[in-house]
Amino acid sequence: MHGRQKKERTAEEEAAKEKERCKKVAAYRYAMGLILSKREKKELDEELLKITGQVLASNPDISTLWNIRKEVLTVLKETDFTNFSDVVVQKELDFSEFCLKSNPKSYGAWHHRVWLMRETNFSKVTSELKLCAKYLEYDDRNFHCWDYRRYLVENCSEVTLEQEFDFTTEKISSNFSNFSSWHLRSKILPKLPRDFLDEELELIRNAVFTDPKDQSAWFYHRWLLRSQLPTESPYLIAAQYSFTRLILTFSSKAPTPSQLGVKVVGTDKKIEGIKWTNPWSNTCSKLWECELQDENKNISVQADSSSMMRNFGNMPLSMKIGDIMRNFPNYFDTETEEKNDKLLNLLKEEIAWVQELQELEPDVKWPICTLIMLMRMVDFVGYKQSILTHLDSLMKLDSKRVNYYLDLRSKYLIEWKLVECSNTNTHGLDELLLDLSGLNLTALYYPERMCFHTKIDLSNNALKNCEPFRALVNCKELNLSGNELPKSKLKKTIKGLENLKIEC
Amino acid sequence: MATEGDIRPETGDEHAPEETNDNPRGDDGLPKSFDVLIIGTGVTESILSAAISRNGHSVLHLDPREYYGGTWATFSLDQWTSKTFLETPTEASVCDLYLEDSKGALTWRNNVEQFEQLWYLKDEETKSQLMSQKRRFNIDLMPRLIAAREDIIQILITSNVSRYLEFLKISRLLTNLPPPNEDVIESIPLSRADIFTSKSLSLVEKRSLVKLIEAVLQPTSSVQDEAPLETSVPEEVETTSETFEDLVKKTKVPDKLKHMVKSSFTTLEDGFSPDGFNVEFCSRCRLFLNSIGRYGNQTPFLWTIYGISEVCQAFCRLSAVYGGIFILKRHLSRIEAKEDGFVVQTEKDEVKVKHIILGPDMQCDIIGKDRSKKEQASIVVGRAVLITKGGSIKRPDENSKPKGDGIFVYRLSGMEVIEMNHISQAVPKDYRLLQVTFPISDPETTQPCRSIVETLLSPFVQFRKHTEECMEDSVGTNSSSGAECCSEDSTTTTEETIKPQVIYGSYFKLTYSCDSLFSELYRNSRENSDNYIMTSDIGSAELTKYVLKAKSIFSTLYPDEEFLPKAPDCDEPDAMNGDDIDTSELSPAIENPVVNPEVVNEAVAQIPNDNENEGAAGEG
Repeated sequence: MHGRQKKERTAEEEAAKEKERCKKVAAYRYAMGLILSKREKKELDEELLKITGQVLASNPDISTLWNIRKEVLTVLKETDFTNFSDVVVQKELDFSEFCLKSNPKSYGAWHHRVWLMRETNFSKVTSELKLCAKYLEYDDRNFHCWDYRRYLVENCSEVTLEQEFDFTTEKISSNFSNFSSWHLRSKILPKLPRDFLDEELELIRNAVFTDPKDQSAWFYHRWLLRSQLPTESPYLIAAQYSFTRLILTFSSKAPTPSQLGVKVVGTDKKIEGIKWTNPWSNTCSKLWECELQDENKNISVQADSSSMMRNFGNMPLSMKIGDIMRNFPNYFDTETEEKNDKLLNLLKEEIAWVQELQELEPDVKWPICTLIMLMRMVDFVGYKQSILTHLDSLMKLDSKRVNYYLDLRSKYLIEWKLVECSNTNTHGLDELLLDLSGLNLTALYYPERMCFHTKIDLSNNALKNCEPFRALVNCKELNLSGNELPKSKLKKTIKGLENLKIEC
Repeated sequence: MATEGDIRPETGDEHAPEETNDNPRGDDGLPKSFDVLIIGTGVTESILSAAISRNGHSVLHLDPREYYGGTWATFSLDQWTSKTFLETPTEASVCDLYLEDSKGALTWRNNVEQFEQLWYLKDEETKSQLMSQKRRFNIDLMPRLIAAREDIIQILITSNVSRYLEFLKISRLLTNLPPPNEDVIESIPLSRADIFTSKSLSLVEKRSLVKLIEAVLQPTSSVQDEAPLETSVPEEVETTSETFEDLVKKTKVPDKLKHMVKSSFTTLEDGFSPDGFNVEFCSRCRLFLNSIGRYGNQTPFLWTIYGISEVCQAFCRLSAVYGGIFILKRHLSRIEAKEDGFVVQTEKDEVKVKHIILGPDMQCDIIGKDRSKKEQASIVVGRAVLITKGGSIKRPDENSKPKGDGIFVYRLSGMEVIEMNHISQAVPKDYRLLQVTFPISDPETTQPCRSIVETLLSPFVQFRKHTEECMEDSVGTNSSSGAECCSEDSTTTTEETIKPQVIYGSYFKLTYSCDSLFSELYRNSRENSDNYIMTSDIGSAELTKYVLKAKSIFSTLYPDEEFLPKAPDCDEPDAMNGDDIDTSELSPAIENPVVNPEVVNEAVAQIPNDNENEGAAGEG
């Protein structure tokens, strides 16, 4: 399939080919006309199957014809179910395979199989798995086939997970650079009722020590370790009530608070018809605000699930006008969240061997990327210097992605600054100054955590994007001098921000 | 008696020589003159025969022996045990040479010496059982592994000769560890997949092995794919001055791995050169490593089904298709240089030829032209052919993964042992054929091959008889469970203690001249053209050198012509084209042989054909 040389054709061959093509087009036009008129006349019968089959056999990529076939098949299924499931389906599968033989990457032929599986409740799943194995033997990069196999694994309870697991092992053994096999594995593993972590890490180690430049195993490693982290739904970390405006900040990106089950209760009853917005009009955001129609002296923010309010004692949050309530966690995502000792020890072991490999192969980027992730997971503040050094070497090694690393660096620097800030300023909110100047930031992360600061110094950075400033609703003084921000855009962006002094 | 139609193949190809009245026939139907006379049917001579005949020049191809191949021959068990290859064609031992200003003689060289054979299992039943399947054996006089990117493969594909051949992948390369662990066999992981799954290497070892491989591959890795034919041209060696040892030092490879890589790529010549692992070794490593993955992932090597002689015969067949005439068991008695060529006296008739190419079995001495002995340095190789029973040489467990029964190559204490089961078509079911080759650095040594082999291989195979009980046991298990591979699985537990039993062994020394760079023995310069006597004599474990030799002789004779252009597919509508065809999957024998051997006159030797082997395979 891959790496084949294109054959040059002579003019003679080209002419013959053209003649052939004209003939084909005529036949195709005729057949299509026939098919469409039959369908118009609602003649959904075996003959229609036959004609569509003839056309599809020479070109299996006409999805219209596959769909017409499905219409016919639905009729056949309704008229004679036994015949359909015993005879017709097998014929259809055979026909689809016939098409796959000429084009193993035909969307239509593979989709047809999916449809047939669904229609027959996966009765022929065993032979289908075999077919997948066969086609992956021919070409292990046929993603259609991988997709189909994953579809079967995910939707059919009869597929034995252990067998699928062994299948991926075999595929990975023969070619560990093919991420498709790792991907299928990552879909099976979480469903397996046993502890697989050590085995998997061993497999990954073997792969990356064999070829540290190959990204498949590294990606799988990243997925595997992240899958060990607790999944967390967003919860409330700050709220601010000023006159008619309520601003809520969540721990992670969240859909509208109403969808999360957050209610706002006025003096006596729930306030209905709240229209939540966020500064960027995104569907998910960490920051949500709303204008309350009526003036309420006191409001209470409540949630259906108590975990939503876990940072406020699992209790409804009572607020009066002018209140700013916040309880930011000292981490930023599940990776930086505190972990139990078992996981922590495992991560430390991971750091040890990745470091060993990194020392052997100082010029390969993946061990360094992985080290940064691991260090962030273990102690993102403690490893500050190492992470910065590693980022520097990544920028040198992988200069094509230097902007990505600069953004990462900005993100981490802001994290460290925010943690430092919350450690020193435990009380007193008003004169909060956030000094992020001169850090060579290329992007502003966590603006939702800065919406309570009144003075923010972002001078002498390399910021280019104005959008995050929309979140700085309480900021009275914003120093943006020494950045490359586009002035016109800046004006538009911060129009809504009152009392803002900008030094550019 | 041959008529015109009999000899001429019905290919309708425009290159087939036109037979006109200018080329009358002699008494036995042989035309009176030819462009080229070739003596010997080794691989170089066969390739030349095909190349010359293919371009429309007439070829008379003789071999004084009664079989094809010379030292490239393959034998059935009865031919082998009756020592066919030892028979020196006495009449051919001297052929007089009358040149313009000097005289000379061609003498016959026999390469096999000190042949010794014995049956370790003396019971007649086993012996007769083997003999009843004698035609299922295809025993190479000198077994050859072919690397998938060697020039010969390229030539097979581009010339379309590959359609006559079938290859098997060598399943694994294994080696025993250096002393004191010489009893331990480990498989040599060389492909990415192998290194990845290997359980005998530590993580750091894996890393350094890959690094070494990368270092070896580096200098020309990008060029390899575009110009596979150029990879082994000697000039290229100069582009990298690093020796294997340099790279080993650079990549800090541990000794165990160094041993493994070394033993995978060692060839016989390395055994003779004091600094065996030099720059050339590096370039060979590169060729072998690049060969991995071309036809499967395990090893770089291919094996010719039905024996290496098939390769010679395939080229001979192409030559015959284009009108080349083959006669086996035909000797020369006199060669005389004339105005415009040579007059050659064979037993029955006299032919005129423009050029003569002598195979390595012919030694040419021209009086006054003293070719000193040192130019003809020769290699002596120790050989053993063993037939064993009771499964395979014990391999480490991890090899259970590729259920690849078939052919395994072991490098055991400096010996190359090729172990074949019936899939190789070299040995019948339930038996194994062990082809052992090793360098004998001191040709004067008195130690017989047998004692060398028996000593070095005794940790792995049983030369003396087991107790009756043991034999009964393993025979019983084997026969009880039908298919070979199943029986192997079921007996692995018992095989742990029982080594394969050698039933039959033969031992000999094989001599071939080493790496002679010159080809021209005699040139008769004329106004319009030169007439040559060339020798295709070359000895090497590397097929590449034979191919290069053929090319160089061809370009001397026909400097302006293309070497073996693709032959048209006259019999196969969907024939192979280009590089991508897996030769290992090519159909074995073509169904309608281009030339039907039966119609060819008996004086003209049989066109090589696989039918014989197929017939044997169909028995029982």
